[in-house]
Amino acid sequence: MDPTTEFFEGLNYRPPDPLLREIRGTIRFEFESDVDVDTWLLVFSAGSVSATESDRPADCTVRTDREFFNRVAAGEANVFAALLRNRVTVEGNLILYKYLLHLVPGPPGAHEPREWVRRGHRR
Amino acid sequence: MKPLVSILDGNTFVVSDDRGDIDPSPTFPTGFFSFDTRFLSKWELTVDGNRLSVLSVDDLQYFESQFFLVPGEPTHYVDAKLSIIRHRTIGGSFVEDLTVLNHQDQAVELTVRLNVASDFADLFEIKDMQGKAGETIALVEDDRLRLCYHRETYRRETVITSSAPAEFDPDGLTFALRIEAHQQWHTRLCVQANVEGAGGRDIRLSIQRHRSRSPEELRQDLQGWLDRAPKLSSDSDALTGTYRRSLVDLAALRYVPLTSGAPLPAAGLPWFMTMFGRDGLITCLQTLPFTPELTPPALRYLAMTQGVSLDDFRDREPGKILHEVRYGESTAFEEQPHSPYYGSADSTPLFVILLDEYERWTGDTKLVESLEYEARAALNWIDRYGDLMGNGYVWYERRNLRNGLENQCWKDSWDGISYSDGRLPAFPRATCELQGYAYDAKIRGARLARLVWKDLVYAEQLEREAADLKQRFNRDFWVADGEYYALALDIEGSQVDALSSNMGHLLWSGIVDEDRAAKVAEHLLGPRLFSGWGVRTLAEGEGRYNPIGYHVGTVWPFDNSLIAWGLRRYGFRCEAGRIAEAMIDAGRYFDGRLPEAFAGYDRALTKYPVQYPTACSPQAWSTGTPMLMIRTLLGLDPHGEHLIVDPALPERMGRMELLDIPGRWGLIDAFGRGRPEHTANLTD
Repeated sequence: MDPTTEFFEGLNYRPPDPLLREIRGTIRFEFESDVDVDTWLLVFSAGSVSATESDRPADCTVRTDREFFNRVAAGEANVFAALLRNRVTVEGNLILYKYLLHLVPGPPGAHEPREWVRRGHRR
Repeated sequence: MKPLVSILDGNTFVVSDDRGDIDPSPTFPTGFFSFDTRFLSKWELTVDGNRLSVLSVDDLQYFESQFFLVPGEPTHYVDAKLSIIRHRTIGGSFVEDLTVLNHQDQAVELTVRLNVASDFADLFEIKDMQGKAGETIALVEDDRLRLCYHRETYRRETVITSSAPAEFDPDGLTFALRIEAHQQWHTRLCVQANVEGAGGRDIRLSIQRHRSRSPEELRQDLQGWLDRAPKLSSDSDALTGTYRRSLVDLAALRYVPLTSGAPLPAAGLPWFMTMFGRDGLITCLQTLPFTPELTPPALRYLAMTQGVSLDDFRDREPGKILHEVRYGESTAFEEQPHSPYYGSADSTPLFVILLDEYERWTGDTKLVESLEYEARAALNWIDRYGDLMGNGYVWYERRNLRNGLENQCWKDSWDGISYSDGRLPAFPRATCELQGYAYDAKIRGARLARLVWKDLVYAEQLEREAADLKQRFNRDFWVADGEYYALALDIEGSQVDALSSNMGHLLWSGIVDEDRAAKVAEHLLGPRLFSGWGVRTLAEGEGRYNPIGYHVGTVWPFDNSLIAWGLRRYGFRCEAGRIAEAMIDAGRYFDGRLPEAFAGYDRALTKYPVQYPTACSPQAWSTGTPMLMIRTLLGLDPHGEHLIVDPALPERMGRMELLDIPGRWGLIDAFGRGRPEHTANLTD
């Protein structure tokens, strides 16, 4: 399973998130690869989120290639920067795209601030 | 240097010389900018190959200006047989109406030319232009010139068109004209900045609110904004002038971020036309009684962008409120961390403080309800991530060692925090005002928990924590010898003992023990800190004191506005009035527009306040300063459903009335009159 599939399937097991309780809407993801286009549908519904491989239209459409989204799903690429450099394109409700930041992991290897200070001391 | 003329709409703006020309200059950057990118670096008008000289410039509105020009360099003979008018507006795109008038009895033949170029510089590159990583090409079409920049998938484009026929070439456009006797010629030039997104269309097209607005729409919008604000009349022309100037500047500083529908305050023109958490929150706190409409979008936007995960490059943690957002190339390629960047330790408690202050004024419990979990996350951040040492204080130390900020408090220059002898403390650092904000956020969070979230257990917990923090703070930060609060604690828990303006913020937060407040007020208004024009950032006599050092001796109007508010809170009416009066006096020297900072020279030495050399103007929290001063002078404070008015004006200010103050009470008027007992003794 690649990071993209793992990411979307994992969303279905995410506990309800009060920070998303006022967010309702759908995002359609289109991932191009050499051979075809995969589509996923992400549904925000009052705190819970779900994702299915589906071809339905949505409030917001996000397009990029599968390889790049693998990096997003692994926390290695930032979705806001990717939008600014047109690496990912978004049509429709941009606010829903912004809430994607709540779902994708942060960069791997980020430090707990207290741990960072303690380690700095030892250096 | 020629004077720079700026016009703007949101984060799209033009900075030019007084002829209306844009020239590439590394020292005084000019250009047409949008989304943190320079879309024109050259825009140079010539007639028969000659540059023009200026007769006059009218700054009509913040989005509109007009230049009256004649051919020839100023040193040459001025040929008054011809004049040129450049009338320009910004409303999403940059529109210039160019008119050439022939004053002679005979027809003239002329070549009018605009030299055009774009370097597509990121704002972060402008002072130090290196070679660009991408490529720029000029595409000449029949009716337009397109300048295109691309680097991988990143694309920005400048499109220049003209209503009158023009000959386009890669370096500009030319008009070969014949103007009859006493006739004129006109063209409308339009410069469009495109930020390419889906389907080759501009990213911003996906946002309904973000569209080009006509000058007429902008005029109506400005009029509506002024009509909604309270009306001030006063015996002090300086005060009414600065209030009016501030309202207009604040209108100019509104901008709509990509993912927000409503305008919120950007930090400053020209280099800070973006959301800064700290600046935006403080501006809203200052202006809430006057322009409350700025606050809900600012709170919602900051809530939406609140951190949810750890990120070292962006100094981000869960619950943290952002420091700065940028849209330029260096952000897009993750070379700079502003996507967004979270390197400030004060924006998070300030977020809770503004949310509470907003409810106190408006009674809008819906917003407080809607942001409950964001506010709780912010309060958790204070204890969980802000407290780096695990000892109950808020500290900062950057994890982005490449280009993160070293000082993550408002004095964020590298030497902003020092010991009295000038040494710089190691990291992490816990500056005093951060503890004041944390205290205030807990007290206010408790009020919201009780009133709106109906969580008494949480309210009591926050109050206990606040009381404990106040007690420890007064033990650990109080410099017993000098009788003032230390600027910070260092990693050993020792006091960073410079005498600074920061302790003025402590009065505003309410963390100061009652019996120490008088000493604090005495220091703030004493000769080492008070210059006569305001409270200096760092006291004279400190190791790093420099009257023209950015955070080490200059006077910052916004800093003074919070200090005056704090003095008032502890009952120091004359002292607050004295600071307010000094600021209003200073505003007189800047046409009512208080700059970011001015020099800390003693007032006896300079008869006027000396502007800090590279200060940015207008700047949002300087613009908000006269409003908070008016609030402080009139003693406006909500109490339940009512507004308390308790004026304390220095005698020289005479009468002041503020009509139609909006709030949960509807509209209310406030009156005040200067009295001798509210006048500070100026002999000291």
